[in-house]
Amino acid sequence: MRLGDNIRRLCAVLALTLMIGMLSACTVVNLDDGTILFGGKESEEEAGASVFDEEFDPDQYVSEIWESQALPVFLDSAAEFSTVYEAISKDFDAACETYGILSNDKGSWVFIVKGTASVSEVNRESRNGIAALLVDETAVQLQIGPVYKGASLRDALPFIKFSDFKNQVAFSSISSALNRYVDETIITASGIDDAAGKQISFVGAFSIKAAADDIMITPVEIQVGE
Amino acid sequence: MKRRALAAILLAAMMILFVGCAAEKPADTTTPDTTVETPETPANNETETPENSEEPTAGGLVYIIEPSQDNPYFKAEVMGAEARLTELGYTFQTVSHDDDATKQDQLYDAAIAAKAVGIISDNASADATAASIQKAKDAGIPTVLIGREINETGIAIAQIVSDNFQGARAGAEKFIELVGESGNYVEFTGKESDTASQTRSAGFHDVIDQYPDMVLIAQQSANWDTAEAYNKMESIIQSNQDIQGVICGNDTMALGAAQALKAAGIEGVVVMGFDGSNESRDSILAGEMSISVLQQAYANAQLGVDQLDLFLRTGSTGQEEKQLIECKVIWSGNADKLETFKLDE
Repeated sequence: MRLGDNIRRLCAVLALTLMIGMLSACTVVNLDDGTILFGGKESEEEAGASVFDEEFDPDQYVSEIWESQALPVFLDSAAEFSTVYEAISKDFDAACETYGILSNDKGSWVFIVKGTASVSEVNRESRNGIAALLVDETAVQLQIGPVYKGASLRDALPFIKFSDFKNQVAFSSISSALNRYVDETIITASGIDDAAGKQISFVGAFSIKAAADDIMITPVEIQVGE
Repeated sequence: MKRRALAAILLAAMMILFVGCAAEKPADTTTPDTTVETPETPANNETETPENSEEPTAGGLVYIIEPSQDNPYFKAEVMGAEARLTELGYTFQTVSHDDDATKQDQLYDAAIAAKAVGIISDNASADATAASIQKAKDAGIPTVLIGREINETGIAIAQIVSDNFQGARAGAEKFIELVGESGNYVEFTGKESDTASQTRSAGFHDVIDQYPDMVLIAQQSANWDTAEAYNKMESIIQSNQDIQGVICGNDTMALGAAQALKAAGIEGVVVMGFDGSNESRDSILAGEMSISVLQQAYANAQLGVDQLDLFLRTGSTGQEEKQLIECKVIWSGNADKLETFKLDE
């Protein structure tokens, strides 16, 4: 090849590279790998001590405690939903004292319940999927993922204490991991997506601040009947 | 040989260009926070009678070591602490560490020299504070941390931790509710060295990243500053007006972003801040900002004082050291019930 051709090619590629360099604003961030960047800096040292606990794997933690510690608490503590609901409607403070667990952030009360219900509808229009239930005559929601709201499952387990973990980020990651565990091992296997019009029995937990709040149960067990 | 030389030159040229790009620092505008109104005393102080109130107060001097009170959030913490200490029969000395770990350490020295009986503090640094608290502990002075936590336990006697991560998640859930589950959004983070900035951003993304149709089109630090957020929002708008939401690490930045959108005549953008200041409340009620997240500054400080008092009188707080306190979502549905970091529910 002639030198002239090579120089022309080099100039073209350099020009292209220059254009790309100028057009790609340093402040637009590629988050595909989940890294959160601050003003273009990726270094932990530059950003200060990381809030993330690199040594803690919340999914592994949950898989270790689920059968041995978590599920027994749910199954042993679960009260009949109708009983709890009636107590809440009658006297919220008394119901909290008898059946409730104060959430870790002191903001709400958690109740562990079991019951049977008919499924009116399964709605996955939102990523916060919901199965609409009727427990006796009470309408409640069952959250079925993939996106879950709240921290009911973690807050229902008194052995999971904020003091035992690095910080609020690690502590919250346990809640996400519990929800993920339910989503992956319980939801699909239960067949809830085909349960509209059927009866189910369930065990789960919900969190409320006041008697009038809507009830959204995060399940730990679902059995679909006829 | 020539081809190799050209390839090497090309590679070098590309590297120079890309390294040059990465070394570009964001504009370093260290404008202080905008001036803020003097907060009023909250109407209903939730001051419960402490347990064992028959026992005489311990009394003595308590050091309140806080960031600058230019920020109304920290001012509310100070007010809460001072009011409660006074009620319980303590005197106090309020000092500012200006978010500087070195200055903070000097203030701990001052507290020790003044023979303080206790310290209440919203700390300057998750890394460096432990050493200062240990020094005070060794001198017989217990410390209660309020607001921001440190990662070590066993040194402070209590950490009343404002759960920013939970608050950011809750705020983001409201954000998704208002924006819908798809759209373009922009993020302004706080000062990069501040743990709160990382924590809130992480909390926002913990929710929003679960919606693949939500697209982050720009993420920059606006250093907690209104003017900086205004300027950066203005720049972004110049090249892209198809924005459905803006999330900000605090209210002062959200106010700047909302002002820029308003100045450009762009309506209907969901703008989220954090802290739950009176300014954010007013902006939400005026339809400019959409969401904030309340940190219970006043109540957390009072709880911290109660636990210090209980410790001084009985030798124990009766609680686990690290305690989480929820942050509450503020939006048009409840903003009118917000006053100086207290939500009247």
